[in-house]
Amino acid sequence: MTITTKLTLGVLSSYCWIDENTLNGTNCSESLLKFSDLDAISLQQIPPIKRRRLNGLSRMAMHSSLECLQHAKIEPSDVFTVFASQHGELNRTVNIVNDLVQNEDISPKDFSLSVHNASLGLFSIFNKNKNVGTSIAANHNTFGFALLESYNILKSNPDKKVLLTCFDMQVGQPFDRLQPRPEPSYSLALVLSLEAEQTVSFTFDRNGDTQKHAMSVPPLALSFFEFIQGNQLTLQHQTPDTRWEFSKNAV
Amino acid sequence: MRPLENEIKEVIIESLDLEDISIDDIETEEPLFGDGLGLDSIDALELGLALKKKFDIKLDSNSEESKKHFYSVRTLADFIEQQKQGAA
Repeated sequence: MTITTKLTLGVLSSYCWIDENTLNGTNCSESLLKFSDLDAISLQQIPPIKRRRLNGLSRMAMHSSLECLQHAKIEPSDVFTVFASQHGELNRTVNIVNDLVQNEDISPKDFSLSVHNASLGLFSIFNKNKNVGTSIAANHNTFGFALLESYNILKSNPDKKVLLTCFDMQVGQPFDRLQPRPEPSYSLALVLSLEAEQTVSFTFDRNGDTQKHAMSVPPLALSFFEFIQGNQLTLQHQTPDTRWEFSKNAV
Repeated sequence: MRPLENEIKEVIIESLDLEDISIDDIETEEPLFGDGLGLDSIDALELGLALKKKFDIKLDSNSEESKKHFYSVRTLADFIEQQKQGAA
């Protein structure tokens, strides 16, 4: 599958949080870190009795989503949502399976939060958001297909805005050994519309040349964030099976 | 105040991630669920598991009796003492 037509989206706001404690061995560039929030998450906007349900993945996703929306002065209840995560609650699931193997009782809280759309569900409940919400995983192309999904939603609802949040926790044992190099825990949020001052076009080619794939490129979401924050006008990003191309459009 | 009641409050705070709440904030006779502390059904399950591990008690998750035991810290303490006496 190849999309040769350029798809164009407006980026109203972007916010990226990266866990400073997971940078060891990753290849995050200096400029990416400069543009990102590296501070500990406090989420003071949410009352403690609710905040306690947000740990790990959901906490990161909620933080970058709310900061991004606040920056764009958009109510969290108004947006359509696309939440994307390659690994989802993998680490939590591994803990649950470990408990099962050892005949331990499983934590009901862990079980209830172990589904892929848990973060999206918590976002919609906490913000009383009753709009369409989509939860996506697509291997190395997770962010790209989340962008495509956002585009589809906006084409059907041209007057709406989409909150796209793409996030992953650093993969723990035992699956970390399947990765060529560790990736940091991060959460990128974007507020997208069809029209905006800053628009970005993208195309992708699913017959990408796997030979050229650098084994250690950062996650697509982080490459994209560095691209829109920086001065480059174009970005090419090769995942193992897809070539993504992005370009900024002159105002 | 029985020492057991404070132990139960510690288990509540720890197992339910109530990071901003201290032992003194939990009223011994206030309802834990709904209006009082504001805990929900997942909390009930999580708390049941934590109390089982900590005090080695038996719980029947479906019974009306369990609901009564989980009303407040005081009723939980009564229940745990009763179970321990039964076992002794």
